[in-house]
Amino acid sequence: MKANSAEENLSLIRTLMERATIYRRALAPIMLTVGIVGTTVSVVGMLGKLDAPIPFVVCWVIAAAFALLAAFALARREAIREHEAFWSPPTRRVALALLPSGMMGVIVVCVEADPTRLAGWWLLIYALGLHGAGFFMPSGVRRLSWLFLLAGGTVLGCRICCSPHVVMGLGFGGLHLVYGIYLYITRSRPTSL
Amino acid sequence: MNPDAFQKLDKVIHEKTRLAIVSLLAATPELSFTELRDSLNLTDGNLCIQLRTLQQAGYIAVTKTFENRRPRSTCTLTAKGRKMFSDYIGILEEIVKQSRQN
Repeated sequence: MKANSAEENLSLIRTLMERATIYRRALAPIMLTVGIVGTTVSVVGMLGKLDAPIPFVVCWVIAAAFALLAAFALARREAIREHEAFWSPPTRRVALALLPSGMMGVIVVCVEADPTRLAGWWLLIYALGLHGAGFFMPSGVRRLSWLFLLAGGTVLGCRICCSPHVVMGLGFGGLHLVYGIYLYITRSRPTSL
Repeated sequence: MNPDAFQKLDKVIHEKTRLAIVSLLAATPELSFTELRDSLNLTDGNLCIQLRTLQQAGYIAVTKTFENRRPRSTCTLTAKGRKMFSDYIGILEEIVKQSRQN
């Protein structure tokens, strides 16, 4: 074993220990909450016929803010329960990984006028942010990011013409719900040792 | 560099997968079999073998419970495991320090 291997091992240990303190137990309720918010808002948007660009953006910005607040509250509750610091170094890294994609989501609103294509761009941008943040999360988060990438790519590449709320509902609502359910199921999967 | 430092490294922890398992367990009170498997991208069989080795060395404790009538294995680091892990990190840091001095 050489000295650089010792450094690599120390780096691996640090990374894994940081990853373990991410609120893995809070991930399932967060995903389910975000999924329920996404699905509900898409139904509200469709019933309210909020398909014009400005009402569509306002509707989903409010939904995103609500989902973010709910995720924050759930993560905070988990941190208090586990006696962990909320704003820990790995949490900060995840927030920083998501920040550029959040900014891109705002910028793309200014350049994309079509709400359905805007929904496709949001799915793509969210996928990239999730993939970046996935380094400190369970491996399933990265797989989820690929599904978002596929969904966003399909909407933009195949020029799908449907209500933007359907895209948002299936993407942000459906995918988060499916992943949340997957997390709940695997949490109680029978294991043998 | 002192070659004795390399000899002092614990052989049980030094294996890559077991090191990853112990690192995760050192940072959290307990982890389920599923959480460990998903976090490290391991197969059930591989994780079982590594956990058994760590358990036999007395570094981890595995508790079996039932949740909704389904068995659930939970792993925790024992006091001995925590000490060995701490010693292992100490030796690694010593190796890195010596190499930087040289």
